[in-house]
Amino acid sequence: MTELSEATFEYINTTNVNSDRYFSQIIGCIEEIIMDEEFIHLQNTFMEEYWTEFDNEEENKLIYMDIFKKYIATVEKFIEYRLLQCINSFDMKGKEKMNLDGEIFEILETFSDFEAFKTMFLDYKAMKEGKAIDFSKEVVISKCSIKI
Amino acid sequence: MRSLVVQQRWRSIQLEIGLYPENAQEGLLSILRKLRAAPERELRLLLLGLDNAGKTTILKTLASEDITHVTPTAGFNIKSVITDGFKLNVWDIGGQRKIRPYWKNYFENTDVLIYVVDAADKRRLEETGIELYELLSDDKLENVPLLVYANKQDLPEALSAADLAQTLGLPTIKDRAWQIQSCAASQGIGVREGMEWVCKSIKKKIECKTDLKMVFKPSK
Repeated sequence: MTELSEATFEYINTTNVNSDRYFSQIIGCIEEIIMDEEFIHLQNTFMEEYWTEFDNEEENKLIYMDIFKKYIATVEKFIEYRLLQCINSFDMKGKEKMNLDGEIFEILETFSDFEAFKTMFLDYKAMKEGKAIDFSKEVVISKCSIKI
Repeated sequence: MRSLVVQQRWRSIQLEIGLYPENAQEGLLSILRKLRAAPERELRLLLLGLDNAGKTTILKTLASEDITHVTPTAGFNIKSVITDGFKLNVWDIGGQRKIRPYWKNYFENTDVLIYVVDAADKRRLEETGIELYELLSDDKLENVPLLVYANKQDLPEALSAADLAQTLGLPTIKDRAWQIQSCAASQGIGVREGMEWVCKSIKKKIECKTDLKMVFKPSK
């Protein structure tokens, strides 16, 4: 048992240094990807398609879960694809990210936390409804009968 | 500060992958998910059961909310509760027959399954038993500890927890930890006791994981 543990200690000690560098590479790449126009466009297109399904109610509709799963699949595919490209062309000088605070975590939350995801949609909905004027409320249709 | 915490979590993910290489196959986002909070202290609880069993009442009781205006759930409710050093994310899904096919959409990453039974609804005991066993046979809920609430003990015709356990055949469950808890959710009785068992059963799981880590901790 002791021998096995010692071998594992070595593994952990050597992987720590490489692991940290690898880690900051990945976070740096992810931050670039999700701040990029292409990703923002992807997110907005997605929200544009589904925002009308969302209501500002405490109880969630079953369809929210379907939309959430679709969102995760879409986002994950995109990030993984871009991440591979980014890591392959990694330039050691500029991109190491040790500062992990900030917006990146809020955005990452929407990928795994349902409530953050719902809030994102409700915010989008509020924005859309603020912009759009609902003309249907201005028009009244009623029966008109004329006696001749 | 946040950087340091996140890096520590990254290391424990690496350790986990080292111990369980098959987990390295999981998607990028599920790994990122683990960076978020203290994952071992955040639990996902799934509340299921037939319609009118008392799931939403239990959920609101856990969240210390008013239960007088509970109506049948057409979708699902989520509440987060901090208790006993844990953050519990509780998902309550509607139990009407037409909603049950959707239950499986919520199985993933469940830490504890809480199954609520109206112990006074004798007419539907068989139905609830069937639904329960369908859940227990699902791969995605394998090894997930089970808490059964024998609810509505305030009604005279309610089966006791012991009788309900027998009727449902709970003692035959060998593949996971389980517990039955009698409660009268509308009276605020018994709900907390059930959650104490939940936290205890998870603590055991965490201790086990921590022991493994201690074996592999580098000496200074």
